Amino acid sequence: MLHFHAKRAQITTALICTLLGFFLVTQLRGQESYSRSLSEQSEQDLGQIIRDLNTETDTLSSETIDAQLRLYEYENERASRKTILNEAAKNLEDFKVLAGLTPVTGEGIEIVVIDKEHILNGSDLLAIIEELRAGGAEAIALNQKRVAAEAAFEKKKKNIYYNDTRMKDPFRIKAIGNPKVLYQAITLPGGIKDALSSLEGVSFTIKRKNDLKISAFKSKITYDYAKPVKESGQ
Amino acid sequence: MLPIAGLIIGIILGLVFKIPVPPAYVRYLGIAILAALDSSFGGLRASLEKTFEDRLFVTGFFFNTLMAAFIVYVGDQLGIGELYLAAVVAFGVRLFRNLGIIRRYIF
Repeated sequence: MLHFHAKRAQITTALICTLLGFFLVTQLRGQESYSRSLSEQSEQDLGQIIRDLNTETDTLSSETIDAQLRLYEYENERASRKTILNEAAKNLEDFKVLAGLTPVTGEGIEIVVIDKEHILNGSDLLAIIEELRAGGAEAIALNQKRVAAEAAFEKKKKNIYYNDTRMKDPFRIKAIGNPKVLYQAITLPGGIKDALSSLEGVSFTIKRKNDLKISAFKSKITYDYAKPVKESGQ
Repeated sequence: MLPIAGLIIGIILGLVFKIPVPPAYVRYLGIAILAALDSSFGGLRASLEKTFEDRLFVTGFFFNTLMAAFIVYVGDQLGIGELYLAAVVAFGVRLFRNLGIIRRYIF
């Protein structure tokens, strides 16, 4: 059917046809792989890709939320620790006031007891202090000396010693607390004031004060025998 | 029958050697194949007209193929991808004319 001039022409044509066939198949394959790239994807495949990406986005954003939650928890924990520390510091402050380790100021009463005949005993002063404590006194001082838990009164040759310091007459007792309650505690009918005022040469003066200043307990507190008991389960 | 045998061998070779074409070059290979097809049908037509010259055929085949791909490449580089269409139209018109002439010889 086809008439070629020479055998050589047939061979060259055959070679070129080989090349053409090779190119054709390669191109068809390339076109196939090209169609698999994004711009030639079918709508279904594109939809699948979008769904996959959405799932990935969801996963990542939920991870972000988790991380933020953890951060929030850590911050919360830190804040609560701070609160506990603050509370502990405040408690410590309260205990220090209670133990008389810090100078304090506030309203209260001042009692001046004059004892001309030197007939009062240490126990009488202690009784006044006990009454003040019963009246809710938060800090007490006797002649500028803080009266703390370690108060010891002693009478040697007409003089009263408080923790080995001589207390001179008149005795000036300061008490910080509710002035009304403290006043009532002292002036209770048949109370300490009545009992001591009846003694010869003893007089009481009670004044309400707005800004009493009481210094800290100076002596060092040492515990040689008493040891704190560790509570079980702690 | 030798050219047809060559074509079949080429197709088999293409199937055996799975040469991957990067998507970016599919356009160039496509237009090159269009040019090659045009040359092949031109050769067929020449042989039917008894004016076939193998040297002309071989040089035409390679020159057209390479030039077609090159022109499209230049067009892409210059930002006129439409040059691709110009090549497609030019080779397409020639292809159809050759096919028409071949048809008249065969039938």
